[in-house]
Amino acid sequence: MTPSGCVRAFVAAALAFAAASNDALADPLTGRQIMERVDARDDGDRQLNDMEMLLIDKNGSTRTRRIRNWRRDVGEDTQSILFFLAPADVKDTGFLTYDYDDSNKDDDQWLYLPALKKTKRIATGDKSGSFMGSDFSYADMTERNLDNYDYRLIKEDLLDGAKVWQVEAIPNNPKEIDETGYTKSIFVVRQDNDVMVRAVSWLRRGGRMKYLDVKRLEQIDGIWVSTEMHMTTRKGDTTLHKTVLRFENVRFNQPMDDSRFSVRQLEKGQ
Amino acid sequence: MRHAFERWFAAWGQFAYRRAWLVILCVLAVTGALATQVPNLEIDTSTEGFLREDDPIRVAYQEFRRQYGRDDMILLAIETPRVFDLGFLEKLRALHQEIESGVPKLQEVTSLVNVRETRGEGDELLVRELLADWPQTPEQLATLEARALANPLYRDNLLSEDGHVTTIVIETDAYSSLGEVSDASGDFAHAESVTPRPFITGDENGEIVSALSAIVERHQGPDFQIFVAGGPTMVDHLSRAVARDMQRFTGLALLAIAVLLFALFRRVAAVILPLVVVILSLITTLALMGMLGTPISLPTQILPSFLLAVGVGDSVHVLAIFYQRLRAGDDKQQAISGALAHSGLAITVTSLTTAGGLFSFLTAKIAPVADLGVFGPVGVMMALVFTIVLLPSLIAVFPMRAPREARSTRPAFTQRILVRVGEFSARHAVSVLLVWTGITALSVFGALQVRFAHDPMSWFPEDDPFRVANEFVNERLNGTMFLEVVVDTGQENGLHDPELLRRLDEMRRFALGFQKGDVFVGKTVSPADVLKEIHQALNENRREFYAIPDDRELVAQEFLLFESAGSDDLEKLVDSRFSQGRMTLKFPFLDAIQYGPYLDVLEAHFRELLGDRAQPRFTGLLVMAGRTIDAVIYSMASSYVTSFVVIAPLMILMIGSIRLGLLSMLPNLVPVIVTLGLMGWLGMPLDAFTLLIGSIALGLAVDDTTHFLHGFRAHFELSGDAVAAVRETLATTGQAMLFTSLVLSSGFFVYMFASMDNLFNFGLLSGFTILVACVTEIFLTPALLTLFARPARALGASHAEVSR
Repeated sequence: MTPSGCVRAFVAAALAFAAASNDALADPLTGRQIMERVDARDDGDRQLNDMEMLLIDKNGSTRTRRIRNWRRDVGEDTQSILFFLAPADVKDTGFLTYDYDDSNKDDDQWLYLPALKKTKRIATGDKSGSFMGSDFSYADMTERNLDNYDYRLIKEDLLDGAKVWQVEAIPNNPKEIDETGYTKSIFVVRQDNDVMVRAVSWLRRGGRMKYLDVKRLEQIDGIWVSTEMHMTTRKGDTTLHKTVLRFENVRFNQPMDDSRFSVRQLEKGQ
Repeated sequence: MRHAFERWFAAWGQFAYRRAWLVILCVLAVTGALATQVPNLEIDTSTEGFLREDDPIRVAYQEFRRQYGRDDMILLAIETPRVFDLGFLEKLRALHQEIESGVPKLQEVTSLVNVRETRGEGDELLVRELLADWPQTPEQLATLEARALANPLYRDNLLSEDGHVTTIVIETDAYSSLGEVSDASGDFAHAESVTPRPFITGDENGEIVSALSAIVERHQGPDFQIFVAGGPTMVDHLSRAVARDMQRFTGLALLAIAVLLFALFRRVAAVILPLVVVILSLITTLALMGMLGTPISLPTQILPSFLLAVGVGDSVHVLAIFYQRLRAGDDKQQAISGALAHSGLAITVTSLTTAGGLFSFLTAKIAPVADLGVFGPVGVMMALVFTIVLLPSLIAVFPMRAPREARSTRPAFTQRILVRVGEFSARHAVSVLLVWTGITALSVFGALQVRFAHDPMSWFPEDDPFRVANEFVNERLNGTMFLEVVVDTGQENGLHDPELLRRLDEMRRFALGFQKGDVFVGKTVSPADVLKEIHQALNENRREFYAIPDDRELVAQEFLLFESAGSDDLEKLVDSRFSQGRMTLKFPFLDAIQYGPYLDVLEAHFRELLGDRAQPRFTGLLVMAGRTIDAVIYSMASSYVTSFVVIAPLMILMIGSIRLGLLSMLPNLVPVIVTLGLMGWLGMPLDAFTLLIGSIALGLAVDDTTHFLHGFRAHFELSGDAVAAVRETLATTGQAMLFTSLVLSSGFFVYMFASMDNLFNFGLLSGFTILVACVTEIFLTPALLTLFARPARALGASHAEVSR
């Protein structure tokens, strides 16, 4: 479960080769093919960025967290390390995560609490839990394995003047539902750059739904990055909670070696 | 003035008789149109439903629910020889999963199957479900059992101390989903909007409980005995009882009225016509309730049968004169117009006094009692209007036998008794007065011992499955009643202050160690407990680290860790700014009057502990129940005073003498005092139901007085002889007075067929009060009049005044 997966999948920056995406499509693609295109995009590597997280509760009051985040790909796996910059009392609290592509292998995660001066390995049951107290779950922050879903193209549509696909995704095994907490999702994917710009997900728990909306999409070093995303958790027509995630200073291909993603680094701070 | 009324009533009688069908059609059209509103009536038996919507305590409670969700959970308690047994756990999981998939409007289902466990193991921190790795071997089961029993967060919540009882806690939605748009297409436009929804309705609550009951039924077994308890099930249970009982009361009241009407008049018309009148007026009243969205509640469920019994009195008085005139040789038209002229004013005045008694409830702080203050008077006046408007027309179109001769000696026998009692009272006025003074003194002494109560559990019979389940949970899991204390620091991250958290922990310690009478705290949960759990887990699970850390930053980081480790349990304990935290305290379910003194001590102590670091705000079901007690006391005092203040002037106005008007209130106050005395002597409590008796009885009892004085004055003016006037009065109107008292008391006695004990008490006591009022009318009023009525001067003059 990798926070650095932020740059991926439907939450984080959804990326693509700008060039590859403009092909005129003669035959309509299947849902699966569309999701393969989303999955196949280059989401960049050796990324460093700052994240601003606004947590907005149902009364509209807001808390702000700032996080610095490093991420790299190791084969099919992903490693990331992040540190809190603000608020002050949690500054330097760090999370190190190894996210394995093999879904049978549990992710490794360590955390460091500076006030305790201790590193702990964390084992959590599933990925449906909240990512850093936000409306994004760990599952939202990592790639989903395409084989665990049945996809269906619902329709083609226009969104803010851009052509999009609407794809429905239904998990085809109960384990995936357990892990992600979702029973169904609908993704909205831009046809010109294969970026997922919206998603609606049905939660198993409490009849809730989550709405992802990409509010700002930027091309950085030739890679499409969603630099502002809103995730709203709703029940019926009532908003329960909302998170605004903004990415700043996004840089790719930064120098980072093994030691950057180590427990020593976690304890040393950024 | 009196003659003007008489002329008007007579003229109307003539018109309604001649244009009978027109009047009937108009009335039916109006009632028919209104009747379509009756199905809109809802039943509300919720705890908060007892308080007015603008009651500050209720407002605070709703505010709390908006922040933290519904605090009254459904609790399934399952008893078994051993919880940590593979077979049992599998059954528990099956039940848990079926509830999750089969019960509507769920917010969350928690049991051992999915409960979170935060634990340290070596340098590893585990935040996961207790049974994430399903146990396979006896050793694994034993380890799990040891860990579960040692977990303070589970104890008395998910697991009893002895390990034989486990629970499934079901949190349902706090809000209604009626009229909600299901958002399958993912319309983002409204993902931004915030619309507050109404709280969950009784019907929606009923769906939840029905679905759950069916599932529980399937899983019930000898080593898997399921008890269903908790607020939502109680509310549903009460609603069903109300719906069932209300039908039963209405049916029985109609039956009793029909039988009594036939016994009095021995005519089919005299049974059917008054029933048509009161049923139509009842439909109109219920339709108004439906239109205005006022729900039927536990106290207002008495309204239908009550209005039938009260309303029929109007017809009885008119019909009595009508038949007298028929026998005297009038034709139907003359007879009805004459009867209206004779009784129209009297029934108007008695309706006004009855409505006045009920009107006094408008001042009540118990919301359903205040509703009675609106729809009670409306219903009573409807019955009056329908009697005057419709009865003459019905008589016109209803085929009737020719009048019979004056009746046999049997009715005259009751009449003779009445007359004899009245005469005795008049002749031995002083002795009679002394006897009543004695009775009243005894009653006052008893009344002083009456205790107030609000104890919904005592309303159910002892073998009621719901009561059994609640008592089981109460005993095995240390209570079923919840107090919520919101600790508000007023600043962001105020809950990161270790000192404040230590005080919270100190509050917990104090509450758990403090007992007063039967009241004690069985369990508490607050953010401090969650923090201690994390702190311990981060320190290799060592016991000595089950404590609040000293360092503010560490507190902040541990909370952040908890949030980041994927648990949303904190949502229920703190607001998102960490400026306020919620402490839940579990109490045994008791009569709410017992909580008050305990809460006073608790609140004072909490305030002292928190100092200026934070403000404690007390809310939750327990505070609501306590507030209900205050509201009962206030409502009773205010309704008693108001009913007196409304009715006494009406009596003074009608009699035309302040002295006699006030005097006439005495025989009507005495029955109320006697009943209160009886309650004191028998240990029956004053609650949201029995508080009603006083004002209702006062409003009804003065009707007899009105009729009595009406007759007495006329005779006394002529003869100046009080004893003779009493005799004459009782000979003419005594029977009607006795009859209406019988109808009214049977209207109340039908509540003794209720499924709930509180209504049984209400029915018994109010019926009793009406009978006592009838006795005082015959046995006390004559004595009073003999002693205090002054012939020519007072009565004569006042009569002239009224007549002018």
